[in-house]
Amino acid sequence: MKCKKIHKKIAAYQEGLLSVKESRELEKHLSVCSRCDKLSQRMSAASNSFEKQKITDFDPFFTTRVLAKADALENEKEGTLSFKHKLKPAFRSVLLAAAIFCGVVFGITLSDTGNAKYNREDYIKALGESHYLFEADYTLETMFLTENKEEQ
Amino acid sequence: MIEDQLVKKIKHKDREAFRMLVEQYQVRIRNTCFGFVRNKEDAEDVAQEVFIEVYRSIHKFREDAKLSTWIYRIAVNKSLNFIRSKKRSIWGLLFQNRKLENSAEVPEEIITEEAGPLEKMEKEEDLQLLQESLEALPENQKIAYVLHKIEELPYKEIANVMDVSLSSVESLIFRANKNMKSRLFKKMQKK
Repeated sequence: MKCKKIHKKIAAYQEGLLSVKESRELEKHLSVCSRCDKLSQRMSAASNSFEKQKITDFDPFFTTRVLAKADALENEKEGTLSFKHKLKPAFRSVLLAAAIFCGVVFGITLSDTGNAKYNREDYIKALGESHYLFEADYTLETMFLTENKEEQ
Repeated sequence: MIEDQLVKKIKHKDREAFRMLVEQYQVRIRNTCFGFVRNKEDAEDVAQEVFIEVYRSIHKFREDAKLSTWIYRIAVNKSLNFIRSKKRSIWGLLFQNRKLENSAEVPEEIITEEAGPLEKMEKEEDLQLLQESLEALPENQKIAYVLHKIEELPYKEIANVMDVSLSSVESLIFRANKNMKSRLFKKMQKK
């Protein structure tokens, strides 16, 4: 068997997926070819190196760190709760101030609507001489007539 | 303490019960996380996150499943999320490569006393290649491989953690082993 063929089969051989005949042929080649044999051994050793890298030691500081984080989580929760409690009275006073403001605005609006029944002419009549209020609205002719009327 | 009692106590935020749980599972979970992230410091951080998640969502744990299965599931998800988040950023990738170089340091148990500098270098290189082969595996194969090879969980528990059938686990591990070896071999030949 040539080296190239062996290379294709080494992975399957190590997984025990080759037939007895194929395995024997491969083993025969490995016994005479040092290059393929070394490669096969290297691969087998590398595959097992993960198992040797395992974490097996108990770390007491790890537990301490996790517990500290859990405590911080609890404190954070409590902190959020107390913030809500603190916020509640403040929110109440803001709500009260807003209600007062709305009441005032509403009152003013209502009083304005009450006056709206009077039109512009009524104002002029009521004010008598105070047509100056609407001076800009009058034409020169109207102003002249008004002045004449005053003279008479 | 029986598992049921432990869970009930943790649900009532019993600190002592939680401490017992961490002590009971810390080696297994640190090891599982290390199997995925391949860096001890990162594995410690991810394992801490796993236990905090356990503490935070213990009320979601349905007691019809095994507690260990549930914790392993959280560990797998957290580890995969960690890997994904690292891969997402370019800076993360650069950092990962740097860390991979560090993590490729061969532990003393692997190197025999007679090993010379050349042999040490070769073993470091092989371990690096093995890590690269593991990273290249599809996610499902990677989970099955790590839980079987590194954590040495029985197939049934792996099936429960992954929520797949027993035959699927067998097939995943078979394919993972085959892919790992052929990738490793190709890389070894190139170098």
